[in-house]
Amino acid sequence: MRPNLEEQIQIYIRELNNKRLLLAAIGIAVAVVTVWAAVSWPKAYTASSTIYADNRNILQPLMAGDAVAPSSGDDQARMAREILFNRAHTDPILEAGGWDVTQLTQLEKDQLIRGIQARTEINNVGRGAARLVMISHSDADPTIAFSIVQKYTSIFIEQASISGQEESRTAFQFIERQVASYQQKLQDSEARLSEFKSENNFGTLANANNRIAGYTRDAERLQLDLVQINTQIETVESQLAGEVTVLRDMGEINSIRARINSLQITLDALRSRFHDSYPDVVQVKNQIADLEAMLESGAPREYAMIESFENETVTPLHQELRSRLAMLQSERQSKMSERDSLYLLLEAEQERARRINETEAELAELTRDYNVTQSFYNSLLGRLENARVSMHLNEEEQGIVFKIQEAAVVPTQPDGFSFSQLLMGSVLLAFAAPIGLLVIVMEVDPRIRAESGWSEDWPPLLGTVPPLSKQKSLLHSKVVFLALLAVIALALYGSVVFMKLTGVIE
Amino acid sequence: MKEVETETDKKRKFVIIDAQTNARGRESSALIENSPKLGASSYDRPSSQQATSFDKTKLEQVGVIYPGMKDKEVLNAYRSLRLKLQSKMEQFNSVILISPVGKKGSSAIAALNLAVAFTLEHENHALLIDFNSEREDLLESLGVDENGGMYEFLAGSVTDFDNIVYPTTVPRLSIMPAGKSYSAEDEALEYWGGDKIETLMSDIKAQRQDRVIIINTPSILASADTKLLAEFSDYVVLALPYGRMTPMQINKTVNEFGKDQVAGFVMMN
Repeated sequence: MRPNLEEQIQIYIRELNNKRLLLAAIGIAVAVVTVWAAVSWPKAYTASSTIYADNRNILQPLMAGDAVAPSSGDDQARMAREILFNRAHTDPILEAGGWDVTQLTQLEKDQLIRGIQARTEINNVGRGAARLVMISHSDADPTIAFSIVQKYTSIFIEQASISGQEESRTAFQFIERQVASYQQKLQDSEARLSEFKSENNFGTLANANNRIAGYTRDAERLQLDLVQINTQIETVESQLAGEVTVLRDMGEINSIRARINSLQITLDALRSRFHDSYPDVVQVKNQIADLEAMLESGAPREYAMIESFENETVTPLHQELRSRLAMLQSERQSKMSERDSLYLLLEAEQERARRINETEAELAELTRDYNVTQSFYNSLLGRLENARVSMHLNEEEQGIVFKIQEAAVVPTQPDGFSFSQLLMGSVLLAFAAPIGLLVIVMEVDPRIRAESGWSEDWPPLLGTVPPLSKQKSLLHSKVVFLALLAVIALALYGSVVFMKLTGVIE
Repeated sequence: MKEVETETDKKRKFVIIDAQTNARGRESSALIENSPKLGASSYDRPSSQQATSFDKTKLEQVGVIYPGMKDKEVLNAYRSLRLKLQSKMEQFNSVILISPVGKKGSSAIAALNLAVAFTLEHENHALLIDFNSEREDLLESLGVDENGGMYEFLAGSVTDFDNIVYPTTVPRLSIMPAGKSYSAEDEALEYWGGDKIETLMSDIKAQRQDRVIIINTPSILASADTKLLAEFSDYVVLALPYGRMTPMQINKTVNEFGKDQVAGFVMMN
């Protein structure tokens, strides 16, 4: 069980009182130590200057857009450090620091410059691609701090502008080389393209398609004509076939008549020799009668055209039909041959179209290649002129690259806390340390002080006997104790402040 | 005049108290004799063994409570402790053992003051058996001229235990010291035998019904005599000094006695 707040406060007050001498001693000891530390702490003065360094890599704006800019450190501070901590500047810096360089050995110079560099800070100010660089230096002597910073600043600006010129010239040369190489590329591309075109001149795909369409259309039309002609031919042929049937019938009649005639002649001859009742005469008469009967019973078909099976007997209709048939047939023939030749042409044209397709892809690629190269080349030409201008700008120092944003001043206040702040800190610490220690000890100490720490396993606390009040001697009086403490504290701090004010301490 | 709010409100009490306060600062003869209520009992010895003076300042130095003292809270604390114990006690002539918590430490003052607290109720007596021989000046301040204690009785050199019961300057309080030759490290009681002690205890108890017996022992963790004596005690009270005992020490002490035997603690500031 943790003691409740009221009990805990009582316990603390009691402990405070019991151990007050010890706590007071701790407090005074802490006060003395901190005051002494405040007095004797070595002071340092820091001077600083801020430079606006528009030292972007020159290439970046020139190449912005189509190409990836070369990765330049936007860490201006690092670049500044590399510039400034270069050995070449040792002598001027040491002189600015008040040393006589003629008297120093190399080793001494090295040590000194390293010391100076250790106390110099070069940092980027602001976020992102901000271009402020701050140079600051700390020294026990404010004037030395100031002059060193000033020297660094001027060196930096000198160096940076030199390197700026350097850089713009290099940039210009770089772009020049790029332009030349792209020019070459462009020419190559152009040559390849024209070569290709001349080898594969198949005409355009559009034309080929038109032609294919035309041929197809004509072929179809011919096909229709052919169908028509075939129909006509069939008609004529059937007409002709009909005539032949008629002719066949007529031929039959004629042959019967001719037989009758010859039999008649025979009859006449016989009758001239014999009597009508003679058997041969009767036979012939009967034959004639039979034939005549057959003639009468036959279906009379009358056609204009006459043609016999064996000989070529013709009627006018027949002849007309035959001539028409021949005409149609010859027409058909010619149309068929025309159609066939169209099919040939069509096939050839389709073949051509396929070839055009094949080569078109390659052509497109070559064309594209050429176009891109051309556009890039043009933009490079533009950049080249930019680079040329900025190079000239830098050479004539028309382009301002560096500017002192905030010049160095001789520092008047040392770094760190002021003396009064330190004194206050000392007072607080002297007050807090003993109490803090007390609290820690009390928290850690498990010993029983009150009922609230009572475990449930134990028999009960029957009573608490308070302490006997001691005699009220002066030594034990709380008031006296506090007064004494106040006097000591006042003496300590008062004397320190007095010494500070009168200049005994700096 | 001091108010006596926690006392029983019998007039005779007032008289006695008043008599005591009137005697403040003055060397007066033992009030025991003059008190009308305390008749001379067999143990109120006259002559050499009698307490000679009631020296308040001496008692104050020792830290003994008395009615009318300045630190009333102390007095009342003992009173309330006594009341709590009385509510537990089935009969008045019980044996209460007081021992300190932890290995070192002394419950002498607690035992003494508790005994005194019991005597504040006028018809009650108290016998303090003191085994804590470190505070020898205690006996002197109480006006006891020791001539042998329990050790001598057990050893046989004193035959009648009445001879080792001494009255003190505090009315109705008598004391039985441990003995001149007694030392806690020797653990002599064991040596002399528990039976004898048992007999002694029952004899003492039987002698008076209105007398409580309080035994002050050294720490149970330091001396085995304490455990022995606890066997003959009805109640055990442990004296716990403020802010000096860890829970572990308390546990140890309690376990040594046996949790059931310990009636409770009193915290001493």
